[in-house]
Amino acid sequence: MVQVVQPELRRVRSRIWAEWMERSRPYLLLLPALSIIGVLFGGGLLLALFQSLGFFTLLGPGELSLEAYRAAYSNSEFWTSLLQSFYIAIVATALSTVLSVGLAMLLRSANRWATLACQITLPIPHLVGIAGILMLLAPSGLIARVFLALGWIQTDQDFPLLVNDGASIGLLIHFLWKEIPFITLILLAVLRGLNPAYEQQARALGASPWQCFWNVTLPLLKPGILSASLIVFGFIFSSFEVPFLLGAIQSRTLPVYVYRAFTDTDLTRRPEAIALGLTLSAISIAVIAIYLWITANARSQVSGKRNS
Amino acid sequence: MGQLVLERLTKRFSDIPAVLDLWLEIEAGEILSLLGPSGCGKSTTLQMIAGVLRPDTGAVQLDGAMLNDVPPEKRDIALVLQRGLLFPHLTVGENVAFGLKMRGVNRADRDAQANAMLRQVQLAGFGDRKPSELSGGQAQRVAVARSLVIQPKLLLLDEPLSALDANLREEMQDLILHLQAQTGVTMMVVTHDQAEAVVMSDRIALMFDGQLRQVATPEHLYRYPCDEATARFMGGVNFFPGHAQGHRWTLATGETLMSDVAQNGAVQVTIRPEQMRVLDHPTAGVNTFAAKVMSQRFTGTQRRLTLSLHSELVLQAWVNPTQEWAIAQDVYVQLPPDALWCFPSDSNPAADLSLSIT
Repeated sequence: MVQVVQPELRRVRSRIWAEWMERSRPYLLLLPALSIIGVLFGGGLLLALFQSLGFFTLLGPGELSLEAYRAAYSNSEFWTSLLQSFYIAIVATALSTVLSVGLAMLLRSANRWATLACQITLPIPHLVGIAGILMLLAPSGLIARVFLALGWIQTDQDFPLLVNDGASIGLLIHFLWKEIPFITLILLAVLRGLNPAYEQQARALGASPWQCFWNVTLPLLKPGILSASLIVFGFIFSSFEVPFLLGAIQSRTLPVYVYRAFTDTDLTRRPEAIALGLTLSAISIAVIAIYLWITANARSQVSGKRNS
Repeated sequence: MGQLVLERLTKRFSDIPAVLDLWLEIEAGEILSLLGPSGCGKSTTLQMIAGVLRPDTGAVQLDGAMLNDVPPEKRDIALVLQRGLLFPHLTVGENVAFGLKMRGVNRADRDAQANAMLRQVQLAGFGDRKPSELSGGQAQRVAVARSLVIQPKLLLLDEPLSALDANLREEMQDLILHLQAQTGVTMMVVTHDQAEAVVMSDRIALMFDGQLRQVATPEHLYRYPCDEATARFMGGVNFFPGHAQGHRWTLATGETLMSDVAQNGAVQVTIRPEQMRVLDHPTAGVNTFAAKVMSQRFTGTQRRLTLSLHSELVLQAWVNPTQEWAIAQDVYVQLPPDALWCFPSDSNPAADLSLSIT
């Protein structure tokens, strides 16, 4: 009995081993790349985590405490800047997504030149865009000077504040200018890959152009819209240089607040700054995870299997 | 209800005519197939009728009303495309109810109508499934249900069965014909498959190179094709140049045939391969010749013989599959006078021949 069972057992064991090897193969192949990222990124995170907990700070080995986190969260400025970050990211993402859908629909049948013209902003760095916005919209900017020359305003103080303003108009304009072409590019690719017969079919079944857009085109675009807006949201939420240069003086976004805390001359505030930085990362990851979770269903609906 | 008239319909794509000067009338309740090789302009014609493509010139009329400037959603014309093309983001039930929703029918009514329609295509209870969970045949049935539920005057089907396998195709043909008989909807089927066109339609409009070649009943097209390209497209394989003097036709290879039809001048003589009779003993009938079996092929429903006469004239005869023949066997072949047909050889320029090879 035992003699019969043992070879069978061995066979099962070797098969399990082979299956395990087969399944873990891609991960093993990824290991070299992952370990570099792990050491550089994960190591950094770990060090930051230690420092935020009071170990190995610039001021000595220290001991475990949640003091940095307590200090960070008890500061009301943290909460206002968190709110400000969400406000900017949500408004900018929503506006640029809606406008991009419209632009993509308009450009859908346009020739390549029109498409190219709309995407010319894509390779321009954010800093160049920021400089442009400042030169155009600042009280001493080009538009204000033209208005002054035309006599529409008496002094540059009459020009509405559009940069570093409380409502973050300049900030939003910059993000729209930069992100609309990006989302449009993605949506155009999706639109051009869409079988036009779906829309013809909808029209023949009695849908007006508008009904066709709402009931067929938009749902088919949904996976593209969700992916693009997720990337844009993630970027805007954690963007530093744009709100730093264009944002309001009084209400900072979270990344700017973290930067200010980190560069504070008071070195005892360093653990607090690091705690803030870790909190920012955690919020970003959590927001993206929630977004993915909410949209997973919508995604699988459309991008699953096309009927064949 | 549902009489369609196409008048001088023309559509060019960057100066190349896709459809040229097309005249066609479909009676209410009729089933007409628009048949032709791929790229002949039949789908373009269909799109112009559906209104998703604008003709350059010409008119589309339905029940006497001019449709040229009517948007597709107001034409009372439904469209079923190849592979069904169900909306992937909607359930089967929502797909069927789509046209009703667009017309503002309330939810309860459209659900009831959609479910009734699904029952008619034998898919009761499939309403909550996703299109991705259906087989090709089921998807196509849903597409038909989705089109019929809006009670169109005209139903257009673009290669509706070409993505299905052979067994399923026959089942779908039966179902579509059954639904057509029930609803009485006028139907136009675009297809490149002559067998499908023959089974499904009252009349066939054969189209080559953007132009109609012949419009006739399937039987008429088989027996009296207007030229060689048409005959070849309908499965004709025997073509012999000859000279006709009334009922007496002399082939270039020397044989003299007696035909029921009279014709004069240089002709191209044709006979359907399945109408030839092959015997293993001499017979006294007219148009009978001694021949040798060159090759044979068994197709299940036929035995396809290639025969050679003494004059080296080669013909194809498709005969009863149960009778066996040997290669090089001496046989007698009869070409029944009522099965012979010809067209003037001038009427089929060389260009036509290239069309037929599809």
